[in-house]
Amino acid sequence: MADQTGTKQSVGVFLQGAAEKWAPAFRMTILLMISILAVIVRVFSVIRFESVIHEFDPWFNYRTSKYLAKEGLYGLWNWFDSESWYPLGRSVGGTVYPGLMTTAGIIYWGLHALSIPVDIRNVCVFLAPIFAAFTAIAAFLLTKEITRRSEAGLIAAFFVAIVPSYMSRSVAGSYDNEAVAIFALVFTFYVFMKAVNTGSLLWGNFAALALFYMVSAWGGYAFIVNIIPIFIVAMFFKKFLRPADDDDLVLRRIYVAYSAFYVIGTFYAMQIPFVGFQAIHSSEHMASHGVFIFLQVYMFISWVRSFITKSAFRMLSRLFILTLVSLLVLGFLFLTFTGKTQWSGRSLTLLDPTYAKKYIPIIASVSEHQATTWSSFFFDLHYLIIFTPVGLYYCLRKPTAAKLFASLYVVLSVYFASVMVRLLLVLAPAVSVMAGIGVSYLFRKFTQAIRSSFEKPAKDKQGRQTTQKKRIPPELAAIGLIFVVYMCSTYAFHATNAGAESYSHPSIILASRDRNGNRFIIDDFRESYYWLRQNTAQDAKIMSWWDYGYQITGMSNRTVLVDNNTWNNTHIATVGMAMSSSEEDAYEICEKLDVDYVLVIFGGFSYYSGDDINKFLWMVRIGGGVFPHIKEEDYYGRGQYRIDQHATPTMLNCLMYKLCYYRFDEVKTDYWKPPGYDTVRGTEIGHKGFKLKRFEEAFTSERWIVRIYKVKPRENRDGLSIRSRSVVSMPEKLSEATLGGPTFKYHKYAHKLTAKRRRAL
Amino acid sequence: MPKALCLLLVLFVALGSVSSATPRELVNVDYKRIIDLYTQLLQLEVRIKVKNVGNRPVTTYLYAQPQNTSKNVAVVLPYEGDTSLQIKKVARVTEPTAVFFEITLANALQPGATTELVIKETHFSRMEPLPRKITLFDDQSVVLRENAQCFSPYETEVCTTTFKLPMTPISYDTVEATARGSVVEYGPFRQLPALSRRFVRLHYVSNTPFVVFKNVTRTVQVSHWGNIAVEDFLRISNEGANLTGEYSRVDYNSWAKNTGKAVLKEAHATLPYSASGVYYLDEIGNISTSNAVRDLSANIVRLRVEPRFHLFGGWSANWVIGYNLPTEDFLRQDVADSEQFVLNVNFGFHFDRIMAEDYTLKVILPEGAKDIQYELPFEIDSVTREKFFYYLDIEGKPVLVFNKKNVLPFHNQVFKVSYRFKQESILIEPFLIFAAFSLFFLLMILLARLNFSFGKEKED
Repeated sequence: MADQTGTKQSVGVFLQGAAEKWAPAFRMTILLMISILAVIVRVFSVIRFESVIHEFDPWFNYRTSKYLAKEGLYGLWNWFDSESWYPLGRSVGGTVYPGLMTTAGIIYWGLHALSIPVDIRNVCVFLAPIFAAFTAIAAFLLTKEITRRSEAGLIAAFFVAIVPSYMSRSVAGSYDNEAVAIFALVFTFYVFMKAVNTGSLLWGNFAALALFYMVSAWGGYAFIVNIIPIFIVAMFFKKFLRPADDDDLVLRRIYVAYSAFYVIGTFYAMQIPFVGFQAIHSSEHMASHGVFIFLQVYMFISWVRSFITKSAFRMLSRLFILTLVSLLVLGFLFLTFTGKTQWSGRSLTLLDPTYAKKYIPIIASVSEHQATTWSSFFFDLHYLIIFTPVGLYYCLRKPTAAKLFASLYVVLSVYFASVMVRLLLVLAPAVSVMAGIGVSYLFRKFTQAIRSSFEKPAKDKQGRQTTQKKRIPPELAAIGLIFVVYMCSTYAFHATNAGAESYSHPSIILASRDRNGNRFIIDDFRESYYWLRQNTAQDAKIMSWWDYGYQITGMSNRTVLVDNNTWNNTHIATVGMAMSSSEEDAYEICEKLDVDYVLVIFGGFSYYSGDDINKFLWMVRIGGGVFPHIKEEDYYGRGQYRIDQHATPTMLNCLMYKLCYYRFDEVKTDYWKPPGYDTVRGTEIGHKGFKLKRFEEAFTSERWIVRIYKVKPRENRDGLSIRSRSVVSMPEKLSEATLGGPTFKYHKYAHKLTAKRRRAL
Repeated sequence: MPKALCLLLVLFVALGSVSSATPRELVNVDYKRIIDLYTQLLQLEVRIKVKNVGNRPVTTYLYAQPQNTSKNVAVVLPYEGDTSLQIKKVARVTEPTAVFFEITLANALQPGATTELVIKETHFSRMEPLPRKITLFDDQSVVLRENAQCFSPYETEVCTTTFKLPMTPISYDTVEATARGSVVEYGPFRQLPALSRRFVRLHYVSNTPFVVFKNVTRTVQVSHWGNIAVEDFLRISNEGANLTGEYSRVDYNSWAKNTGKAVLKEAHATLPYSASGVYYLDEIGNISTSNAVRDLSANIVRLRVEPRFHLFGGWSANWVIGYNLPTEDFLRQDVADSEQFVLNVNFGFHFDRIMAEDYTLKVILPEGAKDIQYELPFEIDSVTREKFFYYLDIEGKPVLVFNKKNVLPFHNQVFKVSYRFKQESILIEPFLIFAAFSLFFLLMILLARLNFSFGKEKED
């Protein structure tokens, strides 16, 4: 009996020894496998569709990358893109976060230097999956830095590798800033935590470098420059609320880390032309300045403290802190009210979720800027939202600097994610890290409980049984363990399924099934964009709603009026006005803007619901925001937005309506329905049999999704004497234009005036 | 004076070069021309009964084309019975309005004997759309100006020219013409002098899409690992009557057959039977409207491609079509000399009835191939050599670049490229990767074992 326990123990000792010896190798192997998993789970889109750039913004990034690969970094810097924002153009070098393109460019040049001539498109397509693997490694490092446990790191890496929310933005082909920015975000946090934990100036410098990469890649860097000051303030609160022995040491380390990070990081951030001096005076950066000053003062006081008496110090420090805080707040308020510092529209939307709805329709119109629903939280994060509180509990039970930071990161990003769907992306790594910590904690507790049930109660030197710590009953622990494993595997299945089914659609290619269940591709977008590319003049100007701007410049290589950059609201409003005006008025706007073709997206023929008629109200709102003669009410028939016979005449005669439904009443979309039945809106259209006078159908894709119209030239002597004055005549002062009043009053009455003059003639 | 003498000498030499068949010795007894106008390419078949009226055997026959149309002739193929004959262009300064070819007869034509020659020509860009712009509903009609008599350096006894049109003509020169349905016949003209011509004008409906490949670049890349990658870049253009007026999806769709009649809806190609991994794309990605069928009975792969949008007149598109071939079927290793290889691939591309105006073929051989020779079944415009750098190439792969204008399906013939290549040198590239990784790991091992810190080694 005793022998058996002896062998048992020796086997146990042997196993433990072997495990300890091989643990680093296992760790590396598992991490490598997680990285590979992160890549392969993201290439569903290439397998099911093709190696193609997805959606909208990636097309611009791809186009810029092609330009960068050809012209080099300085070429990109100086690139004035005359193909977009006609006639204004866009200086790309100064209005872009170049991190993504530069990364792709460096990979491209590097591989070419190694004589591996890859295609720039493939670099762009596969960049996001590769960076997802890097993110998994960064999450491993961050979690390890927070908990000092590599098993938590591995679980976190596994979670972040397949978290659906992150996958939605990083599948192969989703070549967007977020693809590299999430890696940069997690990695910056890791390096900063390392700096905080070591108090090393070198790591502080590295953190600034990581921040530099983040700044170059994504506007979301503001999250980092705010969360770190908040974390430092929180550390002070912790010092006063739950003091610990090593607080002073930690604060000193933070002081070193942050000073290096802040000074060099801000300096680096200013090197990006798009950020420039915003790093000094924009409101997003104010917290970092304030905390820097505060830290300096605090450290100065601590230094002074060692020289004077306690009571004198207390008075001095109170005075000092009070004046400092009030000075900072006053200064910030002063700057804000005098307009020296400003929040960007998107940041204000984050602070006040109703802001955009009230003031900036162009931000509110984007679907990914909507508030997040509970279902998308669950779909995108799945069981991680159950494990996260466990991790939070663990972190806040005995908070260290790193654990406090992780908790803050989760809590703040939950808030941001609730405000905008898009920012679920920032939450995903936070939740993965926290859930990784939580699951690892649960595993540890459960396995400890099970293990202890096999072990003899340990005896101390006197032979008495030591008072056992309260443990979970082993049966419960076993059930709990099975349950956690089950949830993790369900998560893996869900994530794979979400990646394969929901997030791998390029959105420029649609797939559908016929009645026999055979899959077929609906390729209307590329059909039409390619038609534009091949069969229109090289300098043709295409007017479309801004959503399609990047795709048209990317795929058709033609000039557009507005695109997804949305930097000039007035210009977009002008296009919105053209779309919501009557044919005759729209024609004049088109003429003023040198428009050759008008492109609309129409889904009423083939059940494509993301079309321009559904987006049309936003065009009216944005147009009306600048040109008040466009009124949203005019487009509501019987109190609601509709396209059937009860729609208002304004709606039935506006350009968008006419271009979408031109000759639509001559086809039957459904056997049982009357001709002109719109399958998306589910009604019969209200205006039938109209002709177009100023526009001519130039191309319509096979399933009617894209319709392109040519702007006809004026007929001889048409409108010569009548319209000598400009409809969109620009006032001398710009301020009048933004007020919108006097300028377009003329336009409002223009048609009546013209009618009169025509009669007179 | 010496100048004139020289000129005379040159003239004499030029004449002398064709002296074997002076116009006096041969006579065209019967000269039939059948012109097929079913497609955008003009197919001309000339059937000539030649008689030797001289007193010595004749070995060559002179064939002439009018100067103004000869630039549109892509191929001239003479036959005598079933045997195809040698043909070469000859210079004759005496007739600036004509281009002459010398056809070598299979057997010398004895005095008094007769033989029948068949000459097949393919012309391109001969028809011009009239009207130049048509609407969606219109038929495409074209105009052709063609010689109705026989343009031969010999005297002709009887000559007829037959035009086979796709439909009854809209208008044609009616003098000495008979029209039966869609066939218009001129002649018979009797006792015509040499080089007689009478251009007639035919206006007829032709709803074939007048498509042409403006530019084709084919790359054939040979890998001794067992694969031949073939990729064609094709710029296709419909040069028929341009579309004017509205392009309406209501009027033009798959079930309305009477609109857009001269539109290219699909094109057919035949690939080698062993072709695999066929792809069809353009600058912005896959074109999802194509299918390929491996046809066992015909021993080919049939490829049907549809453009992204149907090509109306004046519209164009770019295609990239590629596939892989196994080396077993196309690359031969010399039995005696294991370093000697011969590549047998087709010269042309695979679309039937469409011509390539400018055709470039690049044969990329493996890195290190030497003594590159080639053998072509017909003449081409130029051959150049260049280098191509692909994965892990150090000195570049040798490339043969063949260039030829006006390439037709006829040119899709097998040609040979032979070269010397050490089979073992395919292992260089894997070795490079192996070496790079080994070096990397060695470096890592070395770095892991070095200690760069100043202080004592830390205990973990």
